[in-house]
Amino acid sequence: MNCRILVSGMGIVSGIGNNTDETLASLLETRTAIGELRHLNTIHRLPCAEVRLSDSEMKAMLGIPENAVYTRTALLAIVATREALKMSCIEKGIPKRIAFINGTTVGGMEKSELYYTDFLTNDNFNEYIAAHDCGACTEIIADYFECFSYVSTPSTACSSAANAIMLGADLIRAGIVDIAVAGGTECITRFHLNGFNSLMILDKQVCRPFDETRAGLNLGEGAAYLVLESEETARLRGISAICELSGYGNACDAYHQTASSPEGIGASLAMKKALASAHLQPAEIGYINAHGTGTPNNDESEGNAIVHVFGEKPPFVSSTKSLTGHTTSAAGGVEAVISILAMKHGFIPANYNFGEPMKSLPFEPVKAKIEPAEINHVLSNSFGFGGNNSSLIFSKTDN
Amino acid sequence: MEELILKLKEQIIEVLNLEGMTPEDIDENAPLFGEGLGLDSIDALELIVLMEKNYGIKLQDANQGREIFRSVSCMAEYISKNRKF
Amino acid sequence: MILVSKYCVMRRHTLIEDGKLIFESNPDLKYSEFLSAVYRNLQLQYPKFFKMDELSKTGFLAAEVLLSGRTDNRNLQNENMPVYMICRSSSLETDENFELTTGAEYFPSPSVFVYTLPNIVLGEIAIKNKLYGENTCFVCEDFANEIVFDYICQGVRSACPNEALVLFIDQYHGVGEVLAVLISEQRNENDGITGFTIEHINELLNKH
Repeated sequence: MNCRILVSGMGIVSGIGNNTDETLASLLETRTAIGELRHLNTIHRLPCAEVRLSDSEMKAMLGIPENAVYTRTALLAIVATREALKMSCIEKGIPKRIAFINGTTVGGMEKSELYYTDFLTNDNFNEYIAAHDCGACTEIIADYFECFSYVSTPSTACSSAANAIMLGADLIRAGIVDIAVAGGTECITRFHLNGFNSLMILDKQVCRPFDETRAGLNLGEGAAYLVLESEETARLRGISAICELSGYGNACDAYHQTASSPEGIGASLAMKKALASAHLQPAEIGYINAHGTGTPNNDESEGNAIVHVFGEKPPFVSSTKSLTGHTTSAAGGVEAVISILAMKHGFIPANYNFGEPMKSLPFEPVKAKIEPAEINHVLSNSFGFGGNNSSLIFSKTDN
Repeated sequence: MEELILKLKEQIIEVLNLEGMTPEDIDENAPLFGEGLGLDSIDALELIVLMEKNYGIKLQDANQGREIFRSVSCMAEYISKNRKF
Repeated sequence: MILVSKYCVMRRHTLIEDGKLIFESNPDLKYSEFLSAVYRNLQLQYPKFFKMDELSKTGFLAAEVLLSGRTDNRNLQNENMPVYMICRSSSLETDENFELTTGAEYFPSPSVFVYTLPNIVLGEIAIKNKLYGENTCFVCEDFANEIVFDYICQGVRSACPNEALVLFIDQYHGVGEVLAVLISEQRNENDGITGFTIEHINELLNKH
């Protein structure tokens, strides 16, 4: 039963905006959030894209008492989920089974690493122990809204949110739920900042995706969710769709734990699967929002995969990670929202900070924002460590 | 230099989890990457950590490793010229 | 119907394939030593095994029992086979080990960091067996999770051929266990060992 999956709401918070309107404004102005760290307590002076809101500010926005036990990852998610649910008028219409599918990798770790020695020496912060793991993070977010009957936490690193969106769609198609709120959340932690630094894949300057001189990525943080429902459910609720999730695919690169195959095998397979499931030809895609982290390895691999699937003159390609940073487990959701905003408002976001074309690729990314641009179908890539590659396709609907 | 080469082989075996290998099994002039021991990019990063931890040598750029880690002998030569302790 | 066509259980110093004990070690061995003993018993020639953390070693060995021989046999090889994993403790032990390398003696270890993601287990299995299909990792308190079972069954039905590898796995502080199953869509219930349901998976786990 492959019913059409519609997107009826979306919510986002990242370094470039605390909601969809602010995000759109930043994209139109090509405003980057990458800069100095202000919230994270670390010795490193590496450029990152933090969300502007402090934990206290988010708690105040959400009506949560200051001393309540909420991790930063959970707070970001609640801010984004609240916007998505409001946009989709979730309280409208028929009683329904709603799933919350949340991709995250750090969970409550940013508090655990802060209070680690306290956990061992005193009882002052013990309530944060239970908030640590990924599943608990999902439950804490779901409990805030009291409307979810199913929760799940796919955890596949940087493709987590994209996989969550795919799982949400599959649950609807299987008739298990009527609506799925799916995406991901992640805040920056010392743990993964140090980890990425030990892999020597962080750029000490603002990253330059698809640039010949690119030297690595910048970490970001954020949360973003889509409200997915079948055409039938939307019709019964009297809701108009923002767009359609018309196709998706996941494949394994089967090459290395953290590096991508030079030819981009997994990436090609994921994009082809997404196109096949959407019944679209490559030429029908108007814009590719690339994974484009800015590492020498990813951009080479993904670039080759794009050429393999789309030819030497592919559709417009840009990576928005030089604006938002790499939001890791949230990236699939953040970039789904960005892709949908681009399609709805008719523009191609800039691949900010791009200068010199890669010698090995026959195409260049979009250097400056292109507006107007007619996009009927947009493809978004998210690739995770372990060779987990996911591609999502969103399409305009008639209404 | 002999002593440093032996010590380096022991450290490499430990840090890279080369199960069942002894220093005698490693030819100090054989390539570490590609053929030879067939080490990969993550192993190269661990060798960079080893250089800093055990000898105080800090490499800023992963690409510097290409020349330095050509063989155990190359590593030993670089370390003896640049070690801080 | 989705049936289990082959399974393997590794826990408490034993390795069982389709109900038969195929290896048992001295119960006094530490878990890390038990894993090495299984590796040698299976006569594997794969030095990269020793770089993996214990969670990945656990999943890798169980997958080897079910898949070895297949990748050499073109008729059985299935490079599009999806692989799924459900775990409880995620990569927690390796996370702790990595945290130790960023302490007072600050030397973050890249080779430890690589394993601070549970889905790397799937990556290791895919690399060894050249599997390019879908793979997803779920972190759940309880293996008996309806959403996950439904998702996996859906995945098998849309795979081509209709077959998948599923790992129910957990490892933390010297205790590890895994139930690995090959599942496929069949017409006749006699074409498999048992049905792929929460009830039957719990039976297999409790039996061994």
